[in-house]
Amino acid sequence: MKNFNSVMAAYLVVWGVLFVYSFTVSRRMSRLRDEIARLRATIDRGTALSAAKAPAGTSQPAGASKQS
Amino acid sequence: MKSPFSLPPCLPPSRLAADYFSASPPSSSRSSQQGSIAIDALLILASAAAVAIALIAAFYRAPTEITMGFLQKIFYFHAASGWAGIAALTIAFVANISFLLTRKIQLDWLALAGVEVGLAFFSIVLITGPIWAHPAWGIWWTWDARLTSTFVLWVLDLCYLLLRQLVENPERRAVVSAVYGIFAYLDVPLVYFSIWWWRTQHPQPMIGRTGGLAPGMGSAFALSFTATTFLMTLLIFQRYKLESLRHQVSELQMEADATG
Repeated sequence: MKNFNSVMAAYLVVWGVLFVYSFTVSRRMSRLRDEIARLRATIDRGTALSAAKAPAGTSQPAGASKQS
Repeated sequence: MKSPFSLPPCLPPSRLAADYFSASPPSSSRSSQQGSIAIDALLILASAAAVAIALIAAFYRAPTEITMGFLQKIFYFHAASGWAGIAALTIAFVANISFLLTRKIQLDWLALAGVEVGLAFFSIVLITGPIWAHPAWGIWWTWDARLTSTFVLWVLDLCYLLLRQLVENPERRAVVSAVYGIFAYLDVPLVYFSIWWWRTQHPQPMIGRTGGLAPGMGSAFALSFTATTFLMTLLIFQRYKLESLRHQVSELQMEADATG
């Protein structure tokens, strides 16, 4: 079949570009999700630590630091 | 980690779309997360089905063109990618104008998603075009109006992404890139109408004014345009979600810094 290689090359480019792009987007998303989980853990730890440090009866509930 | 292919409990479509483009980050509530996964699953299924049907139509149902022969098969996804690129940039253009009017940061994310996806589709156009041109014309590239304006558009979109890296303040970045994005979009009509306004080496449109397609070819073109539209929508949704997650990270970072 004449020009078979050109047609195959073109279709490889189409799917290759779309695959690489969607792969990089999903990788970046998974990194950000990991980062969100890490930050949430840090915030929870910080809140728990400050609640433990505060004298009894004056400790703030979790998430109070966001409002202050 | 949750699989993006798992179908969540059903929510009404209006609710799904509202949750997807809501002001809050996608993972902030259970229902918005469900909505986002449902939209992804639907778009992935629709895109996969549309692409499969379009490929079957292009390679098995559409007749082989008399002059170009098998080489003409490139056009089904070359032209469709051009359409998807223009559609993505039009979404970005509307989002940029809306951002300047409303100053809603979500519109800036949508504009960024549109430009990046548009750039991906125009990269396909600029690579598959020369792959077709070499056997058809005997040259890979010529600086005619359609090819040059398309290349300029690709460079302008690339500059949009580079410009965003240069401005650190998010609000200022959104304003500067919206203004630039609107300016860059002015090249789109030039790309589209160049084959009518100037004498170009690029083939004339096969659908519409100078048309004349064999029955199987018309439906193959329609199906490939539908497939790339689904793919473009899916990619824009994904890219928008990425930007929303990035926003969530910066908010949590500030909270973490405040917590110590």
